[in-house]
Amino acid sequence: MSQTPRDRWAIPPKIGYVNAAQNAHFVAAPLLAAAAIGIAGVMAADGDKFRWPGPAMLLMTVCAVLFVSCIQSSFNAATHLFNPADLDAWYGTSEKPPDTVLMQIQQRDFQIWKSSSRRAVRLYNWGVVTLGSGTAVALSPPGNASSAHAVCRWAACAFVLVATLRVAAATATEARRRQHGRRNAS
Amino acid sequence: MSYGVDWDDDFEDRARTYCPLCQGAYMPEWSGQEAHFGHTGNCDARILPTRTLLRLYDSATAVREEVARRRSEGSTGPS
Repeated sequence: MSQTPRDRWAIPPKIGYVNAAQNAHFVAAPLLAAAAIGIAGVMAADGDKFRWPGPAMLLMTVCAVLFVSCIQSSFNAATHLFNPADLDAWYGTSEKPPDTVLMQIQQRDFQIWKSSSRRAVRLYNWGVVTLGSGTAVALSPPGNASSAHAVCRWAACAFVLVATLRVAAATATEARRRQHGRRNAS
Repeated sequence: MSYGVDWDDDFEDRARTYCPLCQGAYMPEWSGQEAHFGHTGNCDARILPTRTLLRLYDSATAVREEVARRRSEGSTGPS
């Protein structure tokens, strides 16, 4: 069993990461989940105005589930993240457990935070991918659209699709890199 | 995939649960790792099973007595 460091506090690899992740997961993710549910609702009500309402609704539903899971995972991660200032604030003048012990706990909890946080990032990224895919499907013009209208919608569809594919490729590459790193470490 | 939010943890309990001989913190089970105390390499209480130490951790004397008892019985590690 590996020894948990007992002489130092764990520090995030990027100091701004905690704020950045919390903004993405607790501000952006709920808004995007709500947007996905809204779009799925529109599809359900006005399906005849879209080319493929069924697949778009499916993608939007998966997207909403991914974003909600991201919020939950990030919540679980955040409960494990603390720094010495938090401990000072909470314990105040009451007797604190020894720093050696607190450092070990913070190091272990930091690992849990990292693992949960990574999961939240993955869920968020795949949420963005399904949102983009669903939007692209929703943007494709219905069969009865005028040609000018159809050109604009296909162009919008292609634009969203390219951006989505870039996010998907980056997310998949990151997942492969992590898997490779884990395999090399073990 | 996350399956809901997790409430099942008590920081204060964990922060007060440590080996009285080396201040090795109690680490609950996580990610395939069994629950254990983070003892230093030369801590006498390393030979005690986690469950035993969880029962005795608030008394250094009780831990030393248990270590001595197990040593006299020939125990060299947690069973």
